[in-house]
Amino acid sequence: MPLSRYLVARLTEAVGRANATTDPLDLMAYEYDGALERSRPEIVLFPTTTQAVVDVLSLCYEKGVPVTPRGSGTCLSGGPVPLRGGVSLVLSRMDKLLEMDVPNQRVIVQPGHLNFDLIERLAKERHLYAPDPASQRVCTMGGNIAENSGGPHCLKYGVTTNHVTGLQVVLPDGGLMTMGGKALEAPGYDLRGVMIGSEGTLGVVTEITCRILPLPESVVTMLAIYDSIIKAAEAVSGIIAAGMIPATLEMMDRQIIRAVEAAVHAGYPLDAEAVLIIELDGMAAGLEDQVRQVQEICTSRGALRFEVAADEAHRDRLWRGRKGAFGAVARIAPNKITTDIAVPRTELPRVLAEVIEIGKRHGLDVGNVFHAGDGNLHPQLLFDDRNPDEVARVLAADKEIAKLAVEVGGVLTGEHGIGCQKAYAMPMACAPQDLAAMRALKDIFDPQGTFNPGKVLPPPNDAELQLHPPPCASPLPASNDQPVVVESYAEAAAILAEVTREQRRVVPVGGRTKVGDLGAALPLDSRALRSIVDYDWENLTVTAQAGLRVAELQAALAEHGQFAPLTAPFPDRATLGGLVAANSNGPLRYGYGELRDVLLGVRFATCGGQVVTSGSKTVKNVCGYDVKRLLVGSGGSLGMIVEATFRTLPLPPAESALLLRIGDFPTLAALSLEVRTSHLLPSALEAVNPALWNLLAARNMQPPEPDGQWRLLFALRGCAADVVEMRAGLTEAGARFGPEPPVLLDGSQAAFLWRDVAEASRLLGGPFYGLKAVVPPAEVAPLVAAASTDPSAAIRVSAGSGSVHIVVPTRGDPAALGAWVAGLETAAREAGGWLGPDAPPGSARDLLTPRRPDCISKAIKAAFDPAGVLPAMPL
Amino acid sequence: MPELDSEFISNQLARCNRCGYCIRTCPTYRATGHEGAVARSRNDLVRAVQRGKSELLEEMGDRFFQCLLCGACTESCLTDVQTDEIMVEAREAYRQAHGDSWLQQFIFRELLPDPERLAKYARLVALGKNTGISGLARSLGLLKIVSPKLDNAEALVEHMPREFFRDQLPHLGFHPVEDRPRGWFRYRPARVTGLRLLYFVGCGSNFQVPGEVVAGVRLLQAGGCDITVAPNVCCGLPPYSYGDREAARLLAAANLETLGSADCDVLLTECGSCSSFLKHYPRLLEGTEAAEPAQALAGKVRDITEVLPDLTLPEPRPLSHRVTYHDPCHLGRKQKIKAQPRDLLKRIPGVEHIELPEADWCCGGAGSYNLSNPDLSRKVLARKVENVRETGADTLITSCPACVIQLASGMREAGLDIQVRHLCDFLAEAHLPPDDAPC
Ligand SMILES: Cc1cc2nc3c(=O)[nH]c(=O)nc-3n(C[C@H](O)[C@H](O)[C@H](O)COP(=O)(O)OP(=O)(O)OC[C@H]3O[C@@H](n4cnc5c(N)ncnc54)[C@H](O)[C@@H]3O)c2cc1C
Ligand code: SF4
Ligand code: SF4
Repeated sequence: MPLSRYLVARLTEAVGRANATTDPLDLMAYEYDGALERSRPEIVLFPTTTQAVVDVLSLCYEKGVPVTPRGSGTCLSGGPVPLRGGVSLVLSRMDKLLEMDVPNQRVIVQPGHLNFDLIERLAKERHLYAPDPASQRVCTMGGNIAENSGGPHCLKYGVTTNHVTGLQVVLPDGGLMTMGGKALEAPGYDLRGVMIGSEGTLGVVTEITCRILPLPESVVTMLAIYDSIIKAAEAVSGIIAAGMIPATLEMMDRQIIRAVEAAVHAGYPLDAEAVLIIELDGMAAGLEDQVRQVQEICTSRGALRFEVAADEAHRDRLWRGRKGAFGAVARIAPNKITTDIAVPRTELPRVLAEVIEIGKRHGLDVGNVFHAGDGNLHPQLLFDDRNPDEVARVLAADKEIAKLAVEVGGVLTGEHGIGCQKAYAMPMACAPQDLAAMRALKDIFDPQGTFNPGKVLPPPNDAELQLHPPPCASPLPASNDQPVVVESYAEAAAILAEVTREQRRVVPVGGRTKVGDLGAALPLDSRALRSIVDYDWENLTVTAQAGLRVAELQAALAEHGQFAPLTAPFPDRATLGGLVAANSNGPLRYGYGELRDVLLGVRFATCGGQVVTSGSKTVKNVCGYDVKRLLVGSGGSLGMIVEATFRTLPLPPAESALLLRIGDFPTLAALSLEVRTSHLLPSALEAVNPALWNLLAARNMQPPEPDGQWRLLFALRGCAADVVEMRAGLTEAGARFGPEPPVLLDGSQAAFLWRDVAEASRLLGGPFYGLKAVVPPAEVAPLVAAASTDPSAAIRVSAGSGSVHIVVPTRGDPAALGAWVAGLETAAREAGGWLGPDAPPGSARDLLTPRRPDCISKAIKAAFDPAGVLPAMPL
Repeated sequence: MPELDSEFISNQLARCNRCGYCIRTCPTYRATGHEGAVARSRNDLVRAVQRGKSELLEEMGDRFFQCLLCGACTESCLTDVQTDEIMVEAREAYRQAHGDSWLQQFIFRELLPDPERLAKYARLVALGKNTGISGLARSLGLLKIVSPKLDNAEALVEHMPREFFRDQLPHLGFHPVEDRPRGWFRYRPARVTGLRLLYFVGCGSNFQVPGEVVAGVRLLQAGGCDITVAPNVCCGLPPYSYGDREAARLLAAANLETLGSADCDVLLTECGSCSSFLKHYPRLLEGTEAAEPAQALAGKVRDITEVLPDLTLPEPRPLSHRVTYHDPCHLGRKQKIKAQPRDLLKRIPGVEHIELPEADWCCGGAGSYNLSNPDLSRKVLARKVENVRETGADTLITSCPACVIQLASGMREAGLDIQVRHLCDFLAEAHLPPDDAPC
């Protein structure tokens, strides 16, 4: 149905006459993206303000007009193509950099800002924004959010979702919503995590707050050439097994090498079957040694040639072949489909061979350029779009490749998205209940189904429509005294379905390190679910059941020289499920990322009686909505987590800790800022206030002499040379901020200290309140000042990340306590963050001003727990 | 539309796979954020016509003519799609389908091939500038060829010179060549220490920035060159850009005949656009019998910036300037001449060269583009002006008459006190004695 003249006029008015068009030729320009699908909008609008977006969406929602957002239109899956006409909402004119906040290491941009414009601007501040899609010179940040874009750097640095802390979103009905902010975590459900990777189907992103990192001090580029893909793949595994995570691991196969050689004469030998480009970055001190190691590994795997770039020109030469690859391929045939799958890295050789086979079967030339580190593969299917038969064969091959990916435990798309091109394949990759969970989300955000319609999810099939809650095998105990020990995933699901029918309250529990008073609810104990389901150490992933203790997991990983960057207080008791549900983050989050960054997949039992899976063993994955984000910090309110998949990392070859005594917090904060923005890469920067220090010292050392001083504790992990360099660098920096030299702690001292620091509540002995505040990292000082007005408060500040953990003994005067907490709340809010209860939540929650849930979170809770039998949503 | 059937077009269009990489550097896109103004969509439109999915509609003209033909897209295109060349063919097809204006026909077919008549009209324009005669007369200024949308014309040419370059030859020590018809002049130095060269006088050079050309010639003289000036006609770039390749070929043929007969080592010009298009003659004349002579001639073509570095010029005197340099598309991109002009500037003591961000982005002048698409041109120019402002330079230098005029109008409109000068003019100030400097 064409838009009415009235509506066209109103929409035009909303954005301004110069920013709206219905000129047929303009409409034609907005009917495509970088892929093959086409469909024409009825009007193109270029909003220049968030208010304009709100107005347009409200109007369209009211009239049921489809809206499809668009950035640069470089999507390779049809995302910005307006399948049902309506409005093409183009964000290219909202392209400003709104704020550059180097001390907090955040920037705020509008969605139309180009990724590379940001990179260029940040270089002037000696910082970078890590996600680097190959299209970064032209794609918008809004598009990056929608597609959860990644690039070569992702093995080491993660994808878009790991670098975005806040979003401003206009919902399909025109409602304006803020999800997160500059602080690393936000209270409540991680809606920003759901928005990211939702392919522009849940709302329009109008502001993006992202995390930036200091530029690495040094980058070394290497090239290795092999006469077999297998050998090259072995070299990659060898490098990772040796404890190195390269910033880039790019590989080209034989077909591409031939094409490149013909086009740009990169000088590859004729018998080359695989060319590998390896880039290491980080502190210069450690790189030399690592480069030697890489060389040893590469040559011992039979490299025909190995080169290390001596200078910038040499570096360009090594990259020349790779950079020329796409152009070179174009010489063979005018068009190509860049297929995009991600598979566990260990499957790469097999998948490559199969892909070539698929090509042969369809009579097609297939070349492979891929990110060898993260298993993200882009088979290039070459064709000439003037030849319809060839087009058909290419599409068929594309489908087979997608199927192959799923068969080997990979995903349909690593970075290009499902869009409308792969929606058909979703039922192949996801179980009916997984799709149903995604659909529930879509329905909550977009109840009319008019926002970017026809993308991501295919219409529900029979299997999905016929999902029913299973009956419960054995009756549930009448009393809540004894927990029900859950033995299987299916059992968990059946119990949740049963209690939903009975409207009986339950609470999933693990080690009970974070759960306080259970109230009148039946505990569902996960601790019998304690096996490791899959440990693919070469792929750097582990999947384990939710009841496994953190310490048990780490012990198993240590056997392969690895660890999972998870830190929980009380690791002997804390379970993986509990860890995820509580979003527990320890000091090492600074160096290794948040729990949400380490978590690749989750399985959880729902009140609908289903076991839903979200995520996979691959780092890159944009296969449907990122439901697992909701489970992080959900406090058991959406279902029972039964299994989780985490990234693992090689144990660092060297490790030590430095302890620095610093008089007051502002000085400490200044030192932290300097370290954060320098080339030094400590894994943790943890500040401890005098009260907490006294507790620690009392336990670990001699009786304390209260000295009223703060302490700053650094974790130094990495290769030996890096650790030495960090020690020197930090000592030198420390000397500029205080008279005392730092103390180097030996291994066991350090281990105790790290553990005790995180378990302050135990040291206190008596009853206590635990509070946690998260603010932007450079804004901690006022909050600390407010907390320090109570000298008995034990304060730990993750100075790198801006989270503040406060434990205070329960005291007599509730009014004074209330006033003190109110002061903290104000300070946290003014700093752009928030204050919440820390473990266990029970009593401290009552002191805090209740937060009202947003409508989306409320709807999510209602969808996953319709009878309200699970614990309340944490706020 | 026979042109759109060419194999070249078909292959080129097939190779545009809509990746969007051209978005980054396409000035018209970056100025508007409008997909309709980027190479990808221009190609898509032509493809729709070429594959019979759409008529060649009258409204498409604007789309085709909005392209600056700057070639920046090709540089970022992994598959090397030459959108500028596609646009030339699309314009040609468009003209054939929808016709030319009489004015354009008159200029391309009557004026450009006849230098004397052209000069007469140009004089009329110069006069018009001072006496305020009709807009039409003014419009006949050489850069103002193509479009009837003329409201922006006046601002662009700050002052039409009273004396054109050719008029000044006698004052510069040139003498008519005896055994040649009118229009041939030669300057012989006492001792030839430089090159024996044939100077190609571009239209913009002759009519709009003669002072700059004089400066260039003086530098060559100081470098001991033996210089011949021939009565060449327009190089053919304006009609070519307009999609009138036939007119361009006629002009090229005329030039081949005139210039081919001269005996010299080098064919030289100080206009980056002319030098670039003269080098393009072989491709323009591909498949005709003029192809071979075109090849021979193109081999001798040099831009003045390629020659100056090797001449022995008087030692430069110090100048106190903070300068920045804008790469004309036809010089920097099409001829890859980027280092030489900068090196020449850096030789002058006291001159601080600041690299201009996006130095090789089109300024929006693009021949007569500023007249045919005034709004878009202004937006493209605005980005350039902002970049220039950022450098903090007091002088902006470039090496193409059209750019000089466009940039100067940009600085003026933005109220910036930044001098825009042709490289030759600036070099002359440094290398030549002050009293000898051009007025
Ligand atoms: C040659 C080539 C190479 C590529 N390489 C990579 C790569 O290495 N890694 C990678 O991850 N991707 C890659 N891509 C895919 C693509 O560039 C990315 O997905 C990019 O993030 C899309 O950005 P865009 O601005 O072009 O978005 P668009 O294509 O315009 O839109 C993409 C999706 O985002 C939605 N959207 C856009 N803006 C908003 C907004 N403000 N709010 C809500 N939704 C919005 C749209 O509706 C659409 O669904 C490549 C593409 C090409 C053509
Ligand atoms: S012109 Fe080149 S860069 Fe632009 S869309 Fe086409 S192929 Fe891509
Ligand atoms: S030639 Fe210039 S203006 Fe034309 S499409 Fe290419 S980059 Fe854009």
